[in-house]
Amino acid sequence: MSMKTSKREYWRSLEQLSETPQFQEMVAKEFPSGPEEDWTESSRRRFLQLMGASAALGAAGACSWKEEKILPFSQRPDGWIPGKTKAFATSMELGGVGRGLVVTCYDGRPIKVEGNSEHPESLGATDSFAQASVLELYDPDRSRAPFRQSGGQKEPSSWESFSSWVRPILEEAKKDGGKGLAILAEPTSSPSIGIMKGQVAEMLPSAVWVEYDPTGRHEEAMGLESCGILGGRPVSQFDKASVILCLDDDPLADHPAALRHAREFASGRKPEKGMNRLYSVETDFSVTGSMADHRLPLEPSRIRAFAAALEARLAGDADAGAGAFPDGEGGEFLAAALDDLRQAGPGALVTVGPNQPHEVHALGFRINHLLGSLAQKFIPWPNSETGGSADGLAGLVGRMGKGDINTLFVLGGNPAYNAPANLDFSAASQKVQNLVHLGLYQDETASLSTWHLPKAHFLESWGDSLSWQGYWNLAQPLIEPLHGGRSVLEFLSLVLGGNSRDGRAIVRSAFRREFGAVDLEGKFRKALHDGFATVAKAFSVGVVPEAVSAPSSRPVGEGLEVVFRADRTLHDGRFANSGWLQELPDPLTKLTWDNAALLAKSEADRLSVNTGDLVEVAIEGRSMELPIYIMPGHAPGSVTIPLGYGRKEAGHVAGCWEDQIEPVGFDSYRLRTSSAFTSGAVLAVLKKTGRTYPLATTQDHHLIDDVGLKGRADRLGELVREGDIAEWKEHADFAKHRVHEPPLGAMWDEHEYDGHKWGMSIDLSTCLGCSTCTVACQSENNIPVVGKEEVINGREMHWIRLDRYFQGDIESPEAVHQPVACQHCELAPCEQVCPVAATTHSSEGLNDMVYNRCIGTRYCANNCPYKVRRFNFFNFNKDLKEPKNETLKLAKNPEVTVRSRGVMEKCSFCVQRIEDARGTAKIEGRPLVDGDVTPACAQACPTDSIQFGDLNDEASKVRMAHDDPRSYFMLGELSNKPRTAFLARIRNPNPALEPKSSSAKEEAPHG
Amino acid sequence: MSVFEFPQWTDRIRPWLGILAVGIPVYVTGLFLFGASPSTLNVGYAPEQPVPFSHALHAGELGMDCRYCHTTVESAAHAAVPPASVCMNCHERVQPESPKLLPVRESWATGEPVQWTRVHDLPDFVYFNHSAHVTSGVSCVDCHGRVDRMETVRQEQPLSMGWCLDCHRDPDPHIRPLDKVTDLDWAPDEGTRRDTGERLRQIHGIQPRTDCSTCHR
Repeated sequence: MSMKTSKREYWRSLEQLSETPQFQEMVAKEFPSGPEEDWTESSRRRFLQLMGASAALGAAGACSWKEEKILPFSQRPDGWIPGKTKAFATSMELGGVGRGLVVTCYDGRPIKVEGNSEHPESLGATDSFAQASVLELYDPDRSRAPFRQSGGQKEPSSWESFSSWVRPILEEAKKDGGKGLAILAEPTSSPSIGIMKGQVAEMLPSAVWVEYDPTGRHEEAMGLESCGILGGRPVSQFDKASVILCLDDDPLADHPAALRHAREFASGRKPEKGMNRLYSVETDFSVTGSMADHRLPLEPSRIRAFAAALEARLAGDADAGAGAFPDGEGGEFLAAALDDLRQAGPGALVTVGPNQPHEVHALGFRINHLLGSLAQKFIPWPNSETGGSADGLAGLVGRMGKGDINTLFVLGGNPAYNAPANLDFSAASQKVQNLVHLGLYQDETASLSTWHLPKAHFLESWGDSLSWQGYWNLAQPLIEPLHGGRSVLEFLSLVLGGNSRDGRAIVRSAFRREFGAVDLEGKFRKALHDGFATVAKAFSVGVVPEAVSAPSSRPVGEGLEVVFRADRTLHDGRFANSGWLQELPDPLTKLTWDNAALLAKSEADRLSVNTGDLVEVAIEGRSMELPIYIMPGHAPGSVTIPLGYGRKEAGHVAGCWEDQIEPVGFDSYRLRTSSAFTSGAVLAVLKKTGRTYPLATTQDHHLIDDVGLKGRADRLGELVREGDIAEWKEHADFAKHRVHEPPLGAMWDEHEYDGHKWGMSIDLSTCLGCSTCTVACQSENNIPVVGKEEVINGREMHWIRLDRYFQGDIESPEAVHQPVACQHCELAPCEQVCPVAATTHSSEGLNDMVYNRCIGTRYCANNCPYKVRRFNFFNFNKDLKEPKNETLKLAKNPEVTVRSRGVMEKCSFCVQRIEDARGTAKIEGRPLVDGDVTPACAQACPTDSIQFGDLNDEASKVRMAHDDPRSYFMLGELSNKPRTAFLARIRNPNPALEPKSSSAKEEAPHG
Repeated sequence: MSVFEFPQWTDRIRPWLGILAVGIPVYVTGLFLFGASPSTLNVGYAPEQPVPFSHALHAGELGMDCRYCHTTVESAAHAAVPPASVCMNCHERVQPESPKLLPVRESWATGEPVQWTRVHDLPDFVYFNHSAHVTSGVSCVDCHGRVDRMETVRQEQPLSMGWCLDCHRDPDPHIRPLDKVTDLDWAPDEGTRRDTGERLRQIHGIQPRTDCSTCHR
């Protein structure tokens, strides 16, 4: 019997696919141009100056190092061991939903954020925003003191003077019930704030409380409302779903419960335990879309039609949508998905993305109902308002413009930057007599305000919030407020006249309301320790949305349907000043330090533009220039524009006009009107300008090439290996046989490993490509940020990179992600070429990197087949020496050396964690066991795709993964004996939807 | 025109020139190696401290155990310098008026730390762990010398990498029973230190590693 093997051809970028001269040059040179090639006369002279200066310094400072002081406590707190880390549970609220975290503190300062493994919605994992929150805490650009502004003059002030200023204003307001007073807040699930909101309403009945979130989920709430569920939310349970259809949705990455979704989804992607099937219908390529077994790119209006057709067919109209979706244009997809969903019945799950209008959400709920799905439930949500919509803000801004509001409190949020463009918040704010802004940064809204007050970071304050399923999260301060900031809770307490700074008491009293006074302290302390408490909640199943109004069709007129979405690395722009997140390549576009208008290849061809070309984007009379990025698999007829860039007053990373620092990226909020909040509600006309703009994308960096360009496609297929479930059933070890591995002997003496033998495994079947591991690694290992220009030069320093490959038709390719870090080869090529033995092999198989020995020849990087070694071309930590950046030093992990210029670095398998676990085991007088050592990447991974442990321990998880028939070694044929095994990705395609014949070749099996 | 000729006696200098040409570089290199060696630069370093605390009095004469003050030595990387409150355990009553103790009393009253000067200062790229050594039976005295005889703490050992490796490669002479770690005067009752160390090493399964990542990360 002959086995059919589908031969897949992979590519990373369009440049590679079309073999542009630039791409060929990049591959041929292997490394992007070095510094000597961009030397100009002036930079050469500067170099000589620097050399002279450093020689002089070296001579003066060589005798002995600086005298150090030891500062012991006057009275050391009980149980406090200097230099030993401690972990505390807390939570972070984003978009009004809490996430459970555990924060590691070193000598009283938070240095690392992890997921709370006991929290049912964190499961030990985190997202990149939580990982980067440490950097936000220590951001030197954070607001450091209150100021008062009048007539354009900022005058430093204090909380005391604010307090005495605000008191009479509030007394005055109380007289008429707070008529001219408004509070603009971010949506929150905090029970404490909920109570205080009630108190404000009691005290000032005529005051307005408005919540605004530019990237919220209010359409979903409205959809539920239209189905008759007021104040509820849908809970998707991916572990109960066998067939999943995502309509313009990214539930695995862009959702408040994404971590739980991802873990549940991954549990259904193990071939030996049964595979779920994921269909994705979407406009832009999302993280979830890259995991899909079948993906259909559709512009937003056709997604609405798709949902309507699906619902109609389920309701009995067998031919619904046949006209809109003929065969070859989604017809087969619709029929196959429908069949599959029907067969799955209770195991079917349809989810709808937050940017879809509420009609589609209602359709989604009804489809699940018609299918009899048990994978979607609904829970009541205490804050019954569908807060956060643009309508609420529009009402407020309207009243501001009329002069009805004389006092406005802005509690967090940045409406001056992210309010809908048509509202003109700035102009309306001029009519407000007193605008009080409480914020982390002196941002765009701060400069409009009469009072700005520094807000305490969530790591500095008490708080509470609810998780997506309604768990009661507590947040506790891990450090005193660095800049005297106050939390929203403390601020409201001041407004209510209490002026209490005792956040704990506020949070505790809300806790008491829910959990009762019996053994309150005991329950509260337990909840603080655990990070959350369980609220008895009733799931309601079986919503019966009867009739559902039909979604709107495509807007009439010329142009492309527009999708505005939160950026995958900066969210709505609040994280713009985080260097880690700016430099984190987007999981799909691999863009850093920029946003761009994402277009399909065919659409770009029609406009005759290419990636990096600037176009004029006009939407309803507003226009701005944006660079183009051609996104394979983007739906034609539409354009996706990420939000969150172009900040003018974010800080020294993202843009700051005061110090003439240009904004990073493009402020697409300027195009986003109230009507453009849902996908495809407005049209954009794109016009070529003829100019170009440099985009820093890492997609072609560190490309592994074998023998020139020839055979590259074959080679990529050998690096990342995948197969269908049918192939796996026939030959579970198919991945091992994709490449002929000749029995090569070792070129030098092999090591023996009597003790531990550290190894890693990465399951490509469940890796989402979300890139959280990259940020976690950056935080753990003090990896520097290099900036856009250096990224363009290919000098990003990330120790773990996510290689993203496309495969198949350029208009609708499949994607696969592969995290690549140092493979810790047993026969490492890098070790053999180092002239100073700065990279050596440890007795446990680690490929050690000794920074203090390294002289920077870069031979090791040249000899590394995986291209995982990173060189410090500059002293990227130079900024730490500036006095204003003092706080940034606190974000560094003291257990890892901060590297200087001229040394090589790379993944160390988090050797500091190995040593720490070893020390702990020794003190406890026991051997190291499986699970004692978890590297930062594995700990952060939402899908638990990364396993780490001792390969000599036969019961260890990593050993079992290495023994899995799916496992293979990348470039194993070189006989390097890498220590990281990859588990081949298994897809579960619907046999009714044949693979695209254009890219699949039939090939006789090997051997 | 006459040509200048070196006088005859200069011939005798020629062999000396040869010797100097070889000797000066050798001498300069040797001088540099000696001068820059940690055993020259660091051994004997004994900075003046804000409080003239005498280990000879406390640890020697009074016989206090090292761990009375350095409490974390068995559980953490740092053998923490004691907080002022530990000093005040006794000095509230003993010598309560001593002017030498003023910084300690001030620290105790104000909460501001006493600014001690670090004597044993390893480079920042070295990660040394006290607990790993102390719980293996390496005594304080092996690295810090007879602190119980020092009025002012001075650095006894070079603390250079080669010096660390000497012991990691041949730990036997430096391993002693765990309960004798802080007994600086200890000597085995019978046999040599090497024999005792070897026996203990085998009992406790001590395998000091010489991988780079043991100390550098």
